Amino acid sequence: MSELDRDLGAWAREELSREQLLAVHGAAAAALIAVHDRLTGAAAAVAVPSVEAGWATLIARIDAPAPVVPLRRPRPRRTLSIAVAAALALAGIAYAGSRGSHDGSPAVSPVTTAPALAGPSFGSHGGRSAPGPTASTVPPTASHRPSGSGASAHGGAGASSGIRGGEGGGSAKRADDPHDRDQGTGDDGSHNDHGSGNNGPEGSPPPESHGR
Amino acid sequence: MEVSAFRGSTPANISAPSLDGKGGDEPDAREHERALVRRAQDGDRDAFGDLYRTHLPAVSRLVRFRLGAEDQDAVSEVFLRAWRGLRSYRDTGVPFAAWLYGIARHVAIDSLRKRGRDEPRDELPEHGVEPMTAEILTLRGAIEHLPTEQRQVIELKYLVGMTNEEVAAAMGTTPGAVNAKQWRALKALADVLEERA
Repeated sequence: MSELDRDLGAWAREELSREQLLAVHGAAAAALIAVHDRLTGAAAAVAVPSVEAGWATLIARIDAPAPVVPLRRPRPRRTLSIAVAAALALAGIAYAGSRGSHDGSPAVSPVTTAPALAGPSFGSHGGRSAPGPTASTVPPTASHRPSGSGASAHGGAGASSGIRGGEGGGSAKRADDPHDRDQGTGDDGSHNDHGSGNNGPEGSPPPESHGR
Repeated sequence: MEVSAFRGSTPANISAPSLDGKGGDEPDAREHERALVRRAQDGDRDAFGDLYRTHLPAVSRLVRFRLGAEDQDAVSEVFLRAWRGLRSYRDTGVPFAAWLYGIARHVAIDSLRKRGRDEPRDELPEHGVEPMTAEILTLRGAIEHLPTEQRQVIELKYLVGMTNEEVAAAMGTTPGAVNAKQWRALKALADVLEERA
């Protein structure tokens, strides 16, 4: 404890007068005393609220049931996001419906038509048929392509999505050999070409003309 | 009851002579307050009412300094939390006022957070521009620059009105150390206020 601390304590205990303190420590003590006076004055100037009114208010709060804090706070942003998403979805459905009615064709969800655009069957054999493994090996020419070739040979029959599905699949079934195991590539005899459609003996490589 | 029994709570006791920590802590008064706390812990509202009357000035000053403005709701909230948490209070020799001081600090922080959510911080000083409010805001701004211990000493001594012994008991130190911290804090405050002047 410094000499100043000790003398300040003595002043606080009224063992030392303010004048004596200032005479000994000068400006250093004066600055501290000034802050002390400001703090004391400000604290003393704070108005104390009415005890009885405050107590009555407190009693009312004590008697009131404790507020129930909800476990989940309302989240306006989440609600707004859900509302916007729902509106967008409804607008999309309405738009698709209106387009379908303008074309004169039944309304089709964009989801059902999208795979047909990417598939090898050029969108004419039903959108729901997935592209088969033989799609790239079968020549796209009408003369070499068996009826219902490509992805639609098997799937086409069941892919009657309402546009033109089932047309190719039906012809494939009619022209195929009953013992054929060509896995839908066409009627090329009773051999198993694993779908490569080479028309040769079983196990032979497919002809180069097929684009390999 | 004698509302002046607890000397440290009244504004008059924070003048210079009371800051020495001498004679401001009658054993009878302390024992009387302990008895009140025990009764209040048992659900005696009258006893809690006496505690309320005794400590209302100190809590009001604390809230006023912490928030920069009068806030009756915050003052009421301090005592409401005290009532609800009274059973958890254990008399370990630390003055009851120090326990209330801790609650008041949290209430003030919560109130400032709520205020910050409700309105921009820049608008806060415009609520009251009377001279004393300006002085309190100036002092509060300077106090906020103090290290935690020094700030606690200033608040406990000047706002709560505790003696050096009581502050020492609350902070787990000696009255001499409290005295030294107090003057060191005042020196730091003087420097901050001079910089801002």
